[in-house]
Amino acid sequence: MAFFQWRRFNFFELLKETDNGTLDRSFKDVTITCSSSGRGHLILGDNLGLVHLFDRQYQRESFKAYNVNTSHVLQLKQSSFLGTVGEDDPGINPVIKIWNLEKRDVHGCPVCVHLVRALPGNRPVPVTAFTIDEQMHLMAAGFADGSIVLYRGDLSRERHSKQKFLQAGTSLISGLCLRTTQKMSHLYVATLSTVVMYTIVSKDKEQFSQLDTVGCSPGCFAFADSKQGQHFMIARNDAVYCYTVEGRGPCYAFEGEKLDLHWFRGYLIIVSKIAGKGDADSDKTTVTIFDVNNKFIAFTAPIAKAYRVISEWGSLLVLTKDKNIHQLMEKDLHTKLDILFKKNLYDVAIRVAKSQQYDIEGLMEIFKLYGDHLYAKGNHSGAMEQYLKTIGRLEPSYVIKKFLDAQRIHQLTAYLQELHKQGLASEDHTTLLLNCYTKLRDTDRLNQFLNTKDQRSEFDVETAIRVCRQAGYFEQALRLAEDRGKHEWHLKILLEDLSDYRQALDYIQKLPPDLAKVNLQEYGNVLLEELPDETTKLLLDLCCSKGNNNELCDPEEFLLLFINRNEKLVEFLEKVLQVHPNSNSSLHFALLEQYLLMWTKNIANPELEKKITLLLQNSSVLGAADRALFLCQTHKFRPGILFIFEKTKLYGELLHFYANEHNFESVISTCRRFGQQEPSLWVRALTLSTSNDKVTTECLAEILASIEKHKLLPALRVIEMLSRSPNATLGLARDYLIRTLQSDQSNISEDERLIQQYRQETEAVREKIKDIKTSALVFQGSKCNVCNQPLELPSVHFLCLHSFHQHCFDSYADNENECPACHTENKRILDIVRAQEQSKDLHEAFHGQLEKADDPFTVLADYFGRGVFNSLPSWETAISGHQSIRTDLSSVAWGPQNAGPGFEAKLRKSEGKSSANLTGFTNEGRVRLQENASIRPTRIDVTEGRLRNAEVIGAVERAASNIAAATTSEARHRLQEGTNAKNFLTTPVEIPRQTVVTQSATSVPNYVGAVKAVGASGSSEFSTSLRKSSHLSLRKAYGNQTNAEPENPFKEDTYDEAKNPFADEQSSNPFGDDEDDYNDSLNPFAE
Amino acid sequence: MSYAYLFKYIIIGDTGVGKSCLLLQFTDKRFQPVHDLTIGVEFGARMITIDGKQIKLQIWDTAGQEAFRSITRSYYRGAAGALLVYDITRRDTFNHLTTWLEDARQHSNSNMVIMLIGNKSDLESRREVKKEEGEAFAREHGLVFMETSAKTAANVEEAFINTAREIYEKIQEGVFDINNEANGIKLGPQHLPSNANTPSGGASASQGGSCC
Repeated sequence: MAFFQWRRFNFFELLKETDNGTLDRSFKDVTITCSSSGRGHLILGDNLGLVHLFDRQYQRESFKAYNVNTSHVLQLKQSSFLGTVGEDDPGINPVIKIWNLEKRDVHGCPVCVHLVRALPGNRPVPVTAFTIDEQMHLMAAGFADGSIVLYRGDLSRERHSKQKFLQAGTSLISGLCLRTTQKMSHLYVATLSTVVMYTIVSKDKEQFSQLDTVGCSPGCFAFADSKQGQHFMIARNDAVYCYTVEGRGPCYAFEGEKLDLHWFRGYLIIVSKIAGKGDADSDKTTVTIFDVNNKFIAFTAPIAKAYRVISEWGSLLVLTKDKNIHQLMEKDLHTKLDILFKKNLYDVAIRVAKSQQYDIEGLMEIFKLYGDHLYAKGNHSGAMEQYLKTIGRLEPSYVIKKFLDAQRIHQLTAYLQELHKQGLASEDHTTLLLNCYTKLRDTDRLNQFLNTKDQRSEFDVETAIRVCRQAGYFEQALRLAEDRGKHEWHLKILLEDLSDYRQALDYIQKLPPDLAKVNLQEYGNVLLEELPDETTKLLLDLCCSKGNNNELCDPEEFLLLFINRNEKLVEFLEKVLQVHPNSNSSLHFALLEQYLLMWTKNIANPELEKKITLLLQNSSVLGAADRALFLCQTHKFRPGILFIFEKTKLYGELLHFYANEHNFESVISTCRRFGQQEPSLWVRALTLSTSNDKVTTECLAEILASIEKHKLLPALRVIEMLSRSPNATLGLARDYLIRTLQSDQSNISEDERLIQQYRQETEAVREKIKDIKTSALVFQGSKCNVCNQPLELPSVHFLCLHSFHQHCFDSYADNENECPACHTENKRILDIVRAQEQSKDLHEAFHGQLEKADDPFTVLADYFGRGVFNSLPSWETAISGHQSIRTDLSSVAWGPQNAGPGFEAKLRKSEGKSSANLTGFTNEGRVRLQENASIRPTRIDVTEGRLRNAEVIGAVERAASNIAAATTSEARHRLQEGTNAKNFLTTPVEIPRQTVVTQSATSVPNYVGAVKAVGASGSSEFSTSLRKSSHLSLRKAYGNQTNAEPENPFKEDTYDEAKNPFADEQSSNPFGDDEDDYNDSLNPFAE
Repeated sequence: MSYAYLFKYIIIGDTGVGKSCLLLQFTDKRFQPVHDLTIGVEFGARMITIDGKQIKLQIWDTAGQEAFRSITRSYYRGAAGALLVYDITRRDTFNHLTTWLEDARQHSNSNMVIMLIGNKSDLESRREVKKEEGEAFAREHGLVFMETSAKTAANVEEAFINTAREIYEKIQEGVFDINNEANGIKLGPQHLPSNANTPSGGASASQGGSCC
């Protein structure tokens, strides 16, 4: 066998004797002379002139075609016509008949549609080859003498066909084949000694061309119609030769005497005798099936006495001389592939799969298997070649992992490249690929990859940059960053990797301001370090450039960059402030701080001082003077401190400052300068100078003079202070004391004079009252006191000697019993009287508290502090009525004199606290109300509850207002004390809740009664009625008070409204304030 | 595809020198590292352009094995050009050149253009036959010489096209009798008297499989 070089497989299954002896039985005594197949039938002709058709079940159907012998049968594939050659008469007398198998005559036999004699000329020559064109327009018969008759015409009808006699040679025609393309037909002719071709181009023209000078034996030809082209094949002993219309084609060497050649679905089937055992033994035959395209043997097996292969029913039928039929079934593709896989013949498998139009998934799977196989064998590049074909179907990580593990970077790179090319790469793939490039130091390809603008091979730029940086390909990374507009990366690379600061700076300069800002904030530090001048300039440009339409950057944001670069900072700030003098104060302060720092280092620098002073004068610096002061103090910048003190009117501080420096000349001059605005400076100066032993007497004298002049301090206090001074002499104070005592003396005498006067006046009034009571009065008024017209009847006369027209009086008077002219005056007096009355309550509360208190002295001292027992509300106010500022000062100053040091502070504190507590409390009460309300299940309850709360508060308020200022302030006082007060104020909040929820029905009238009582009676009744309805701790709060005898220990005192310390606090009464909001109509308890 | 001329080529040389690979590279522009042995004669075709004329090259790639010598010999006759290939990494293939040349000269027509090809030039490290030796051999026997690599495709195109050009020039000189098909040269269909249309090699799909 010469085909040993081609691989051999077993892709066909041999089924022996599939006809079960039918053939043997059917042709027991006759010889099968010819065979054909098509349209579901196996067609055999015998030497009795019969034609037999077998279907798949070997059911036979026969008809008599010829009387003597059938020599050729040919079934057309595309139509139901059957061509036969045979003899009706004995001898050489061949007749061609065309049968239509679909048309049957009365006997059920096919109808013969065409009949023609097959004779070259008039010579009787046996037909050796026969062919019909599928289109039924051409037919050819070859004869034993080398002549051919070509028939033209419609062969499917009983019409005469044109005959053409051709002489191909002298040797027997062994094969004929007609193939028609659109325009022309080719008749391939094989003789025993040559191969020729006639090109039939028109009706009666044939072009002869010789294809070969060697022929073949009868039947050993086939026509191959494959993707590689149409080949007319003939088999000779050494090989199978192919011919195309253009001449010789390939040839396949295969030794052995061929019996039959057949083409079936891309396979070439050869029936040949087994050589070597002598030609006589013709029984030993073999059937070989070649896959010509894929170059392997698909099947080979010895089949005894085979002589013919026919394809039908999707398989191959092998006819043997002992009248058996063997069937060759092609295995399915999967089986074939499995066979190939087992032999690791993946390349063949791929070829086979491709030629059989295997689906893409299947092919991928083969590629993968092949790749795996090659990989396992260590052929990594080969494996990669296969894996590359799987891209798009196979999970890339599978491949990547394999090659990554094996450190096959070249192959891996190829794979990743392909992935990117196909646009299937992920971020990780990009990273990996870039890593591969960098590892391979393959700069060219790296560049190529990075420069690709191809949409398909898009990759993650940031990853790429990162990898490039890591690998030290800064240039590439830089370019990439620039191309893709990754400014941050660009700068990062420039600064961190390349240290190319200048370029980075240039780059930032080119960026739009907002980006530049962000980037500068990040990298400005480094840039300033390396290129201080340029960076500062850039920053300035950003902050100050005027030609820019965009919003300028806030210089503040850059301040941090200048840490440790003070000079630059100063430069920057100076320029910024030059351009924007009104910028944020923080800039000014930054500059100030820098200046001060510089100043500390270089104290004797007048220029710098000037600068600082200039800066301090800036309004935004002065706006936050405390900060500036702090800075100046930290740096001990004297001029600055003084300047700020002056500017912010902190003259006292100024004095202190000077005093600390023992610079009393300055103290005095300061006092002189600002004494007019703030006289207390003199007092301060006195305090300072008395505690200092370096004060000159002149200074003290001046201070004393000023104090006296302005009456800043009581004399006693001055003496006290002077006594503390180490260098004050009596002589110094003598004049002062004399003067003071004198003025006091005159005051006393004045007072006494006034007392005398008042007494006299009172006496006069008493006399007058007596007169009115006892003696008659004559009304002599002739004019109405309202309209100034002469009096007419009817008129009204009052004892105050005011007379009015009746109509004038009616239109003016509020009250029939009061004189409208005296009414206002009377009312004022009445108010004073009422206030005096109310002050009794204060005493009641005072007593109650005094009895209850653990430390009665504190309570007493407290009241003292408020000036309850004081006949003098504030020093000298009653007499001279100085400026309020002075009054305050003096009271502050002499507070300690009366109550001792520290008391004043405590007092103030408690006062502040109490008022704060009080307002806070009302708020708290409201909050609680809302809390309560939110717990309520229904909305009605909520509003009702809230309403009632408000009412009760209203009632309490009203009661409180009745009780008047003393009680409220007392309550307020209690607040500051703590628990009791709390009870007092929370009770009203809780009362309505109880009434609403538990006893609404009964308690409402009860309550009404209570409020009525409140309205009618005084505070004690109010508290008792409250106690009745609430049973709460009001008793605790008011028990003592109500039980106590309402006696007034200060009954004798002449009450002066102006002296009431609480009088001016009325306005801060929270209930008093609320009174305005109170809507009487909402009060259900209102009478 | 119409063409002005059809040239028939034959590729000869020892087995394994890369004849089939040269053909594959020329016709399909690809390289197959593992190639089945050629059994008999394989066949390829490609269009090229010389002097603005379309020329169809029909190439027979012959089996190099001695066993098939008798079959391949028959193909010399119809060839206008021959590529005589040796492997620069195997000296014996170079040594056999004389035998091949004699064979070719004996069985082909005398005008056949023979080009000497030293293949596998990519395997420089394993080179056994110097380029100068090849040049010397070619000069001595009146052949055109070229070193190629079917793997890298170096000079492959040139080898075929240069041969074609030489044949074309010979035709212009009138050395070839273009009407004698035994010379391996055929006029294109437009030169045929009868029908201007191509005798197409393309399949007519409707025409079924076997013919008996």
